[in-house]
Amino acid sequence: MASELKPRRHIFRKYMFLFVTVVSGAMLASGLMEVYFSYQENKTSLVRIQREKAIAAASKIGQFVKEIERMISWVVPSLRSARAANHDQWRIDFLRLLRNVPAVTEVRYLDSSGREQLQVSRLAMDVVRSGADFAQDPKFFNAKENKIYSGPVYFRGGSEPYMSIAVAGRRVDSGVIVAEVNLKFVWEIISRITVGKAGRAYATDSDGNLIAHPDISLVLKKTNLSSLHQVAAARVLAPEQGEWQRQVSVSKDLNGQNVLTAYAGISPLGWFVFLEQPLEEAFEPLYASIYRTASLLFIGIVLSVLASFVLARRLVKPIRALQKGAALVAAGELGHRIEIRTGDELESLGEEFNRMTAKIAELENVGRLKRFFSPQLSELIVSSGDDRILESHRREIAVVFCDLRGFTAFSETHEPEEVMAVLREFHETVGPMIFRFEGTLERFAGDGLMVFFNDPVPCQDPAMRAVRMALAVREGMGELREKWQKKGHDLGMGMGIAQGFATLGRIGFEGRFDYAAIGTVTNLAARLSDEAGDKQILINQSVSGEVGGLVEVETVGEIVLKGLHRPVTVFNVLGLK
Amino acid sequence: MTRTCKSGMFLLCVFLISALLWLAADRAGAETQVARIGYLIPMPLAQFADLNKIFVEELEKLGWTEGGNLTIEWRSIDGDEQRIPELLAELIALELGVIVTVATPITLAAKRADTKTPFVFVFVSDPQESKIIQSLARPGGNITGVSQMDTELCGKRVQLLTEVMPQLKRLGVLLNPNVPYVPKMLKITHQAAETANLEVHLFEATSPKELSPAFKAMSEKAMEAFVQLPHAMFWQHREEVVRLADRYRLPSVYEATEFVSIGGLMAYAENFPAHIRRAAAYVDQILRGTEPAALPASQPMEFELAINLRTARNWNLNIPESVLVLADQIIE
Repeated sequence: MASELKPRRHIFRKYMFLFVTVVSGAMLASGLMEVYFSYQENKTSLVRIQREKAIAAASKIGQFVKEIERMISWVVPSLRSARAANHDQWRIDFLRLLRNVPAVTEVRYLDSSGREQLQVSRLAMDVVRSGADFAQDPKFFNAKENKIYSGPVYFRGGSEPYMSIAVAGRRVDSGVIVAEVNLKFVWEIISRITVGKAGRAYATDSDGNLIAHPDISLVLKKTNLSSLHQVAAARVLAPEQGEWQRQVSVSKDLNGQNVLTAYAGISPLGWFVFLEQPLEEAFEPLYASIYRTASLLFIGIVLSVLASFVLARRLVKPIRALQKGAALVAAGELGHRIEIRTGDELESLGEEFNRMTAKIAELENVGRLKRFFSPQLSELIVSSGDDRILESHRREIAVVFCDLRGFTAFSETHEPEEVMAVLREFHETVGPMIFRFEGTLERFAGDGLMVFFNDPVPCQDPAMRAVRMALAVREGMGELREKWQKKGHDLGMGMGIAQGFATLGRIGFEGRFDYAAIGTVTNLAARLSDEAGDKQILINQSVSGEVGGLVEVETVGEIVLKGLHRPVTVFNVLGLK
Repeated sequence: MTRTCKSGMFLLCVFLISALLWLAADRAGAETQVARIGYLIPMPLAQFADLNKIFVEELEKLGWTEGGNLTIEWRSIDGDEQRIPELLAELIALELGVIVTVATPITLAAKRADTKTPFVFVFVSDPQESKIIQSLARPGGNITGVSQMDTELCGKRVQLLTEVMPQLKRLGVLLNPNVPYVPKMLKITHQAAETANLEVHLFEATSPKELSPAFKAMSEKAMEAFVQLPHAMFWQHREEVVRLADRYRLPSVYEATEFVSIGGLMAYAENFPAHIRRAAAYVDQILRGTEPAALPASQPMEFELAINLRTARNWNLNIPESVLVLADQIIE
């Protein structure tokens, strides 16, 4: 059994492995492809949305600054009468500016030569005509040159982000208004931008200093973000429209958390607005789809493994049945039939196998029968498919007995090898003749043999056949005798033929059956053979009657034979007419 | 196959059960965790009720409900600064998540206290000058909060007063000297007075009882108007201050709009409700685990000018356009 199980497992595993690999491999590959592409698409669309939000935020911040510039510009015309130096009126205008623009903490007016004429502040006392010289200050000369100037971001008291906005009048002799703008107000814009649940927006200046962040404490701490990958990249790569896909989209935030990020530049200030969203949140729908794909994949693989199992079993089961059948047949159980109902090549293979087994059984039967019958007869009996022919029955048969004369003496005086060689030659000569005349060989005993006709297959002329065979044997023996005489072997041959009823059938026991004829006729034939001299073929009355017309016989006379009550009329066959 | 199935089911069960347990533990944790904070103010709690309410409401917006997941230990020294150490020690002993200190004297005591409990201060005029914090951006230590940064405003208040009273010559300065920022504020006030050609006289009041004598002295010294250097005691006793100012006809630009609504002439200051709202944000962040040292102290963003026109009319004062332009609150 162990030898049966071992290979079974082997082929089963092989099939399983093959099926699982092919099916799961294909599913896995398609699943991974889907995940990869949906990741890319998701990322792109998320970054695009963020990018658009960033642009909107950037424009809001840009507008915030523009609005302040515009408000300052409104005050500029009132400064035309610079020579009239109406400080009181200027002050009221400046106070109005402070009132209207909460982000402006301080406003000063520098005359055309860069001298401070007026400073109005929310915090400190107003200062009139301080005369402080701002001629070399970039706020002054840049504004004089470009009409509008936005200074760099600076931190008041080392904490609050500020910038200067300077606006110059159109005339050559007009001065410059410089406003100090508290950028904490940008916080209001930034903190109103929602990016998912945990996302945020923040703004930095061109050096990466944080200007606005929902967590204002980061701004007040004067945080520089240029160490962040996305900020550094933004500072290097001027954000051209359409080129944004190249910007860093997955990076880390200040806490080292992975974020999806996009940015937009705030022109002309050179600032940036960044939007970021924790990767887990941004990719939540993506992760959901990945989980979905994964679970489908899992189910698919489980199903495919199950299917592979079933399939492999279906393949292996008939193979196993074949193997078992072959083993049984090999062990001699020729009656075993294989049951395979797969409806494919395996089923026909099983059928072939069954046919083969049947053939083997048949061949074995033939082999058994050939012991008694000529090959033709054996075939006939087997093909009739019916053993009843061998059952006991009574029938008239013609029995031929052959016997070597002088064999006993010969075997005593010669070497066994020589004896065996003589016997072999004798058998080789007689055997084919039995087959030729389709006789049934009942006994084959050393120097003698017994053949009968008309059983188990009846024939037209059993007596004639018997005689013909006897004549053929005599002729064959003639040649053999000459050969033997040359060697100095003095061996002759006598034959007896009798016809009569006998009981025929299989006798013996399981493992050794013989087909035998029992009756007076066999005794008679044996006795006739005993009586026969060399080259004589003695026949009884009934045989003679049967063949008389065709065969030349001479009457030998009435002889009393051993074991028979009455004398028997015996004839000797001379030859065919 | 069945074995694979069983082990798969087993793993799935283990996973589900652990997930459920984890969720349950998480929820239970969130439910049972009650944050505790302390709150110590100089004036009786009732007097500060409006602002306290705003503070509680703001905390609720940030996810902290008093009586729910938040317990607040309310304490007041009831105007008696002698009680600061005792009450502060009591709060510190409670091992709270954070203690809110109102105004400079209590905050100074908190700064000196030997404890790891974080403090958030509010209504502190100049924490840097008072050495409560190292700098606004990096407070250092276990204390941070909301500053008023009104040192500079002292000059602004004097200026506003001179605009309403162009003839002003003699200015009284009422102050309580027990706070460290007084010298710097005085310096600013003197500078402003000098610019406006004013004669300055100082009047001290260290307790409510001394308010009346101080006003009497101002009147006797023929002061035409006065300014206060901000102090919680003045705010607490603002009714008394305004009454005395009215009695001695001493106009002033106060340091809190609350003075104006009860009859004070003018005030230039930060909006107090906005101020205390920002304090709630600090408490929230510290309760969520941020170190106080990592939270920069904040400064006011906007100042309000409040004018009581009725008082102005009573005193026949003309409010010029340059002042009205800035006014946020005008009481008729």
